[in-house]
Amino acid sequence: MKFTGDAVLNAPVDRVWSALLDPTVLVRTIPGCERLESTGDNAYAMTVTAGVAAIKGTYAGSCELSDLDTHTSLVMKLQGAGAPGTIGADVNVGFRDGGDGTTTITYDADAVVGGMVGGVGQRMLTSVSRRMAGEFFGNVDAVLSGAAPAAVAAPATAAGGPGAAPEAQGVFVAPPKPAAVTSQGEFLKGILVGAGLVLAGVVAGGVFGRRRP
Amino acid sequence: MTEELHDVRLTVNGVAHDVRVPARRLLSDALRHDLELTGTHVGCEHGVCGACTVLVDGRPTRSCLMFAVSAVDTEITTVEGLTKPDGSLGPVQQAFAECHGLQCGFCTPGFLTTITAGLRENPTPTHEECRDMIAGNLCRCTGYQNIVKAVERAAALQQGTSVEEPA
Amino acid sequence: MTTKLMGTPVQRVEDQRFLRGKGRYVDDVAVGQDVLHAAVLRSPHAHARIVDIDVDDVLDLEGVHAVWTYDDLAGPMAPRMAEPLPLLIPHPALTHGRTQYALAKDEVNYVGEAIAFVVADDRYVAEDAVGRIKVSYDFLPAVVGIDRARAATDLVHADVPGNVGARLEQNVGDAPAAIARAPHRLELDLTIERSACMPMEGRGTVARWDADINRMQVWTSTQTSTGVRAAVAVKLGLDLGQVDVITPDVGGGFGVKINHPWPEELLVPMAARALGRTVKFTEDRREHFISSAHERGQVHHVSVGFDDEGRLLGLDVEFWHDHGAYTPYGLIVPIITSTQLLGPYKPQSYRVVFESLYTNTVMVTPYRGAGRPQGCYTMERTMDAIAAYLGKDRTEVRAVNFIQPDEFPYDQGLIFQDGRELEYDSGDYPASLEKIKALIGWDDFPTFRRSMAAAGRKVGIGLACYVEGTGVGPYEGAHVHIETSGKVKVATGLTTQGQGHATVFAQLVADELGVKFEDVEVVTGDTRRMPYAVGTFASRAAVMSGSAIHLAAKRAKEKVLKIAADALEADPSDLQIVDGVVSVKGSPGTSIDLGTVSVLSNPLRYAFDEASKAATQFSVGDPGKPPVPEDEEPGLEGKDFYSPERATFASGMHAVIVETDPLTAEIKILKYAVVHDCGHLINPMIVEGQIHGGVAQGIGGALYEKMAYDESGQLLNASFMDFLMPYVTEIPDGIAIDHLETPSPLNPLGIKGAGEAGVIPSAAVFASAIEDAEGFPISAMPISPSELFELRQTREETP
Repeated sequence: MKFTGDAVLNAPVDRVWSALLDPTVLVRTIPGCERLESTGDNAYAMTVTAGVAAIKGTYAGSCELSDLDTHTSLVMKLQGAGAPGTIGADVNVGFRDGGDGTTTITYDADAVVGGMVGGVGQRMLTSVSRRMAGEFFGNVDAVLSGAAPAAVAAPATAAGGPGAAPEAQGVFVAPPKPAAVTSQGEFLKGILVGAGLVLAGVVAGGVFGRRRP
Repeated sequence: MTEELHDVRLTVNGVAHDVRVPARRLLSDALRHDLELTGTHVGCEHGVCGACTVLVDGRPTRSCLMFAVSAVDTEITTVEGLTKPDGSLGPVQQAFAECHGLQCGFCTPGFLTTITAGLRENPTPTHEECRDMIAGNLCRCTGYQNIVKAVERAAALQQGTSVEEPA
Repeated sequence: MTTKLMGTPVQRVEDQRFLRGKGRYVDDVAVGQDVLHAAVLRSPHAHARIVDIDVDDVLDLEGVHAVWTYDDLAGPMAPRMAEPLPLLIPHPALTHGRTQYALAKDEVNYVGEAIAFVVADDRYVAEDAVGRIKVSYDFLPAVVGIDRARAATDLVHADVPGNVGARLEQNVGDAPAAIARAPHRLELDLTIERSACMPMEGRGTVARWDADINRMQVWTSTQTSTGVRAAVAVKLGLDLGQVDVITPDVGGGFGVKINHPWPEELLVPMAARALGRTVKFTEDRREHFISSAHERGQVHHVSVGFDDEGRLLGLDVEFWHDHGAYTPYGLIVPIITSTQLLGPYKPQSYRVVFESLYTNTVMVTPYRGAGRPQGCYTMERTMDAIAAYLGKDRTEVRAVNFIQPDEFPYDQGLIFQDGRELEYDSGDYPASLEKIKALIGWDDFPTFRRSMAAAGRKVGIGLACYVEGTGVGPYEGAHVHIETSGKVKVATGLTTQGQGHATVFAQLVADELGVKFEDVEVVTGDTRRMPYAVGTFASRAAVMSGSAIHLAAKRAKEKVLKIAADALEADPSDLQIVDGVVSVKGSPGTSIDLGTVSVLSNPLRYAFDEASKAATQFSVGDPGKPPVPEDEEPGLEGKDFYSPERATFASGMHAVIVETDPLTAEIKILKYAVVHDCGHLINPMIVEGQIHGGVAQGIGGALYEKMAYDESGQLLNASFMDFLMPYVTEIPDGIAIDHLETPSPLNPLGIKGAGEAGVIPSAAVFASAIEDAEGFPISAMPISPSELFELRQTREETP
């Protein structure tokens, strides 16, 4: 399943880049993320609760960042497996500063979905992916604009710099109930396993998933 | 978004059933799927064929044109309710068996309920009245000849008349 | 001696459950269980390219489990799902056959074509989801109607030139030459409109995948359990042995349910496996109109040469057949038209050629009669035209052309729909004609007409003859098993849609085995019970399965007599079986019942009840011989197949007296008569029921029913409000029926098929009668009062 998209965030590229590599941001903005753990250089494990159509479940996932080109692009490799199925995805993420205080992010994902959740249908998966990605970026935008402040400062924040890897080795667990991230009702409890995990998985300090207003 | 469900009590064949259904659930679907009384059949869902006919307070009604929620406070009779308590066939059913008034059986429940009500209203119909009684029900298999005979036979059985069995 | 049941009007066993509302039709299967429901997004356009399918809005619904489009069919689990549906009956002349995909790939070719498949918690939600899928199309020109298909200014399929799927010509002698030198010649142009089976129950499929044992169970409202089974196995990448197809009670078929696999018949099992849940699809009436199948639409051009007696010297028929957007059923319908057109006649030479054309409409597969009504219409209109031309009685002209009783078997010199010679086995057309004339009062009619005319009323009389090839192969089979209780379990693989097979076949077994009718139970259409079968169509069930069941029962009986002879120390030829008890003729005390014979047939180590002790190893058996003799099997079973060399030919004649209103042009049926010959009857009550039903469908087709497509391929009358099917009020009160029996020499019981008979001559007989009433030719059917009124106006304006 391939899909592409873009989002405009209201911050210059360096802040956006930092945010997306900041575990404290990510754990609050990836919908349904319950747990993050560093497993190595640019490699993370996470637990996400996601739903596609009527098929909901918890996935144990991993994420690997590579080909980091500061403020320009990175590649993310994702794997997830859970009761409803499996996902593998390669995502090319591009960053472009708009020069007017905005940054445009483009993403190009190639995902393979298997198991029961794969039975939901290509177009459903693509639609959910797009929604999830849209939500994620909306969440990040809110953080960047200060609407959703960090709850607890991480011991060592990855503040810019190429290939910044977090120094903290903390593990964070979200509250038991997965975040309901949209106001669109029960249906979208959490995120699509594939594309939603796309963006980043990172270790963080003390912040847990936020319930979206 | 989830549909609002309504608690309704449907009295069918003398038995009260409590079901939770959305407002738009057709009576035909409620009978078939919520009450599992699958004898009532759905042929067109637009009120023309009559296969879904049940009796609502004794009157033949297209259950595909009625919402289940509208059927509260009524007495519904389906084909299952025409069978005698001991499991033997009622007179209308018996007449159909004797006269070969059915082939695939799909339209039959609608005819049985319609005729049951018709004979209640007019226990001694003339031949023309027998034909009139079933003029609102479609059958694709039998060509109606034997169904008309079955109406006459049913009337005779109900009257207890010793009419000759059909050849 | 028990009375033979063959030929008696035994009451039907299936009625016991139908009358109590305990039938199990496909939508009744798995009710109350945990089932997901499917719905289908169908094309609203007759011809378009699919640009995009957007399911975003579906996400807001609760309870949707899947939304599939063509892209979802090309997965590794079932790669063949991405291929087009099978072309069931290939033919060398079908050079440009096309079938659809289970879900439309890039293009849709008729209103109703399946584009997306939704599975949800219930049917309401599934339909909600369907309503929220947004498809964008690039419109393409729609080809509707035979004229536009022939003109071919637009094409249905870009790679099918001229919209011609096939062209097939058959010749017997040189008809054009014979016509050229004939003393008299006529040409006719005739039209029959499209119609459809319209069973009261639409299509449906339920499937359950048992992951513990890797088996797929499918319930589907079909006329062919084995056909669906094979298609599901192949398309889903399963072994045939992993798939069971069970035909539930079917609420009518009339031909439409012989086509398979429907897209849903594949998508439902595929979903059951992918989602690990039981999945059900039940279509609604509109879907049946626009996504099942139609039939009957043809245009004919006839050239005929004849002598002073009306004898056919040369008959040349050219016709165009509208087969809709796809051709899964091959050329069966037009082939039947071209061959069965000849009816009971023997033209000295015959040429028939047809083109089977694509249009952007629902596909065409057989509907009761399967092309015969069109052929009969053409032939009978031609006969009437000849009679009118020569000023002769219409029955006389027919009579001189009949194949005579002493000319059977009669080879018409053509290849029939089963790929075999069109050779009529038996019949007596002159005798049928005498009967129908007497039944309708043919000779008294002129007097009747005069008296009616005196009262200012217009009446007409019509007649039509047909021959029907029934019981086509390749075969059917049957399995008979006598259980230790004495009960007999019978299975045959073809299916039932109201024909009373469970009753009729039980009659045959009861007769052959000598058991009580009530002790015989018959199952049809279940591949677990009988996996070798073809299906129910072409009026073949009684002939094919009836014969197979008779033969299988015979085998079982042979074994019964052998074992019983041994037990009773008698000779098998001295034994008789009456009401399930085997006894020595003339010595009723020496007997053994079938249940005990069944016990003895299966040598046991372990007894399971009192009776079975008799078969255990210390009770029976000769230590010097193996317990199960060589070349034998344990148990009391008989299995056999019937596979004839060719079809057997039933025939009949219908006549009708109609009255047409001089002012309103309304058409009223005053009297309808049928003479039919289907060989020996197993159950006359059931045969008569079939005739009644066929005649009613024929009346519908002649006077009321037709598919009304507009130029852009929209079906304007896709509901019962506008597609008019007859109620009791449209059917005459009583049909006069007389029988003739010319047994078939091709099967042991001498039976011929009867299922389609009633509907074959309808268009012909009504056209004949209305023409007789009005005095001008009727060449397009069906005909409504408005159309008759128009014709009258035209006649007045152009005398």
